[in-house]
Amino acid sequence: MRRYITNRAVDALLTVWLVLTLVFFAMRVLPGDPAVAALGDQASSDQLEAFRALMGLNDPLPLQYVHFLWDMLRLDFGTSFRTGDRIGALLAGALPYTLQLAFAAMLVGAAIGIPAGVVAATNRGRSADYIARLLSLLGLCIPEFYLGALLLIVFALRLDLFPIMGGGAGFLDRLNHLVLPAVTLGIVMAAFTARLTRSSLLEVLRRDYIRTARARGAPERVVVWRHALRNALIPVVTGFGIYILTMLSGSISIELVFARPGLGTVLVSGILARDYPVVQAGLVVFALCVVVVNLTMDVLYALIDPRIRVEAL
Amino acid sequence: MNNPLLQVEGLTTAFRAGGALIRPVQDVSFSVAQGGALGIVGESGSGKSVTALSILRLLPDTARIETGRILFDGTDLATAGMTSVRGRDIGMVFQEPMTSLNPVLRVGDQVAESLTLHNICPPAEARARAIDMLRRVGLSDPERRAQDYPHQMSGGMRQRVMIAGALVCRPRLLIADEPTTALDVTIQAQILDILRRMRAELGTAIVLITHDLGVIAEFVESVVVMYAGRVVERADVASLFRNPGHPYTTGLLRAVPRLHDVQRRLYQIPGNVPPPTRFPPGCRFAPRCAEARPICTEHVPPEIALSPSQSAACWKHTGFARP
Ligand SMILES: Nc1ncnc2c1ncn2[C@@H]1O[C@H](COP(=O)(O)OP(=O)(O)O)[C@@H](O)[C@H]1O
Ligand code: SF4
Ligand SMILES: [Mg+2]
Repeated sequence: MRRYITNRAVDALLTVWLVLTLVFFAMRVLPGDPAVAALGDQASSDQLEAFRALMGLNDPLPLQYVHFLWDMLRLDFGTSFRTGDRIGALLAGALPYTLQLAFAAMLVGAAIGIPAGVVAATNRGRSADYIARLLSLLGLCIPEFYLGALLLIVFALRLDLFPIMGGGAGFLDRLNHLVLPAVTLGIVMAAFTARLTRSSLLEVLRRDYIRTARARGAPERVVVWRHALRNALIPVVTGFGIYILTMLSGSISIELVFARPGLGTVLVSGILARDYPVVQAGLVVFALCVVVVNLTMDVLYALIDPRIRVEAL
Repeated sequence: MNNPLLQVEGLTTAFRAGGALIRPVQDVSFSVAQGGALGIVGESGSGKSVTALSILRLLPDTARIETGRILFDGTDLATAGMTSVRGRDIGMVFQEPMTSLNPVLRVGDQVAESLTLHNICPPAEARARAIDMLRRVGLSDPERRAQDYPHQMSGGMRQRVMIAGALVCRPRLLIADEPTTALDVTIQAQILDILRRMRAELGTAIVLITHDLGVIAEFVESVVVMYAGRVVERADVASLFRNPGHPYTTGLLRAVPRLHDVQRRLYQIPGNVPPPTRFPPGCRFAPRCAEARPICTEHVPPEIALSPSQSAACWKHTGFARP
């Protein structure tokens, strides 16, 4: 188990390095002079030159690369072109909003999706199955921003149950601000999880060890929840991993809809303002989230499936 | 009380398969005495597993018991709550040790499961009893092995675990469906030995299913021979070996490898068991039978009693004439 996780962690670090390198070069081969981008067309050539020197843009590329890596290693993301604020602080302020949203959405998705998938699978071909499948299809078809806007209009504007926008201050207020965006992403996640759980469970219920459990006298409830579900969740966890990644990008649009001051909002406003250190740092943090999610999934696998702990060295 | 422990009467099991209805088991009857040992023999595809699964009603959704009664100690299992019978009164060991244990649960917990499911004892005692069973089936260091997962064990070990799990509640009947077929020859003997010993220790009646008559000889008192979904012969072991009543049984006996003449080429009954979609009319063995006459392909042979303890479904016992 320890060796398995060490290996995954080494993989993750390699990935981080690759991503950093990719971001570094992508930002530098992009057309357009970053100095011009930052200061605008009106800037004098002296101003531009001073800016380049300040940002180290005149250094040879390998030296810039080393500086860049060193800065990232110290989590020093530099300062914003536009506001001069420390980007590290900016992101540190934004990240919790995004992570809380992703985590809450996952909880909502799992809490609705897994039981729905179980109900569908155990009632295969009956009305409960059809209803669950229809609803989950619906959930998959609705674009997130549309669903978000819909919930916003109904529950915030019309019914006035939840705040319309922002991130909130203080625990309860933050929670209150979290509900609608989390439900929005959670519904889509639930739809996805329900379908995956259903098909995976149906497949597991045909296995020999399920017959063994029945032969020992296990009632259907025990067969499904104790014997089948844990095996069925192995592919569902993969799905979770993939889905959280799409959700991280999905959170950009949802943060915009609900005006949450999260990572997505920072990134988008950075792009709009051509504030390229902010964009660069935002990309790196997004990529880090992806890597952390993957690593978490690998650990989850090992917890669910004892075979992985030994085999997948 | 001279009830047989298990009585199967006229069992027919049908499957929906590709739009058609097939009957891999048709009109099968046999009984097992209290504490007795019955062998069910037949080549692969004869319907032995379907018969076993029918008894415990573990058939897949596509299957249905069409006709027949299955009585356990006088109670019709159709009306009994199967979950209370399975594992407690009747234990079962399957043909596939590699896939029959749950990969994500510890072996000890799986062995103990019947005890807790049937509320026979509290979890702590169930654990202790499971470890005791693991020791009895020959696992060394059972306390530690109980913590293992199935993938950490060999096929032979897993089958021992299956046996321990099937016997942990001390059921009155054990159904063992080809418990050694998937295993190495050396392991086969060990598993049979364990079954024999457990039977002696616990007094469990057993239905031993096999395609190998060699296994049967030293293990059971009576034998049912199945071919293509039907019982073709039933006999006590001595009569069956000395004087087989059905040409199919004769063929099976000739195919048993003998220790003393390894030189002789192993006999094989020509042809194969037909699938249920292509069961021939009349005697289903006729296409492979050297003694077949015209009547055999037209009419199903009745079961003829050859002695109080032996009968066979073959026209030759009526002189190929309809009675
Ligand atoms: N799940 C199933 N679906 C359709 N047909 C089946 C199924 N299981 C068994 N059968 C049919 O029943 C026949 C007998 O199978 P089985 O009882 O497993 O034979 P045995 O155990 O004697 O080798 C097989 O030839 C197969 O055609
Ligand atoms: S009934 Fe005819 S075909 Fe069938 S076993 Fe007897 S002799 Fe052979
Ligand atoms: Mg079989």
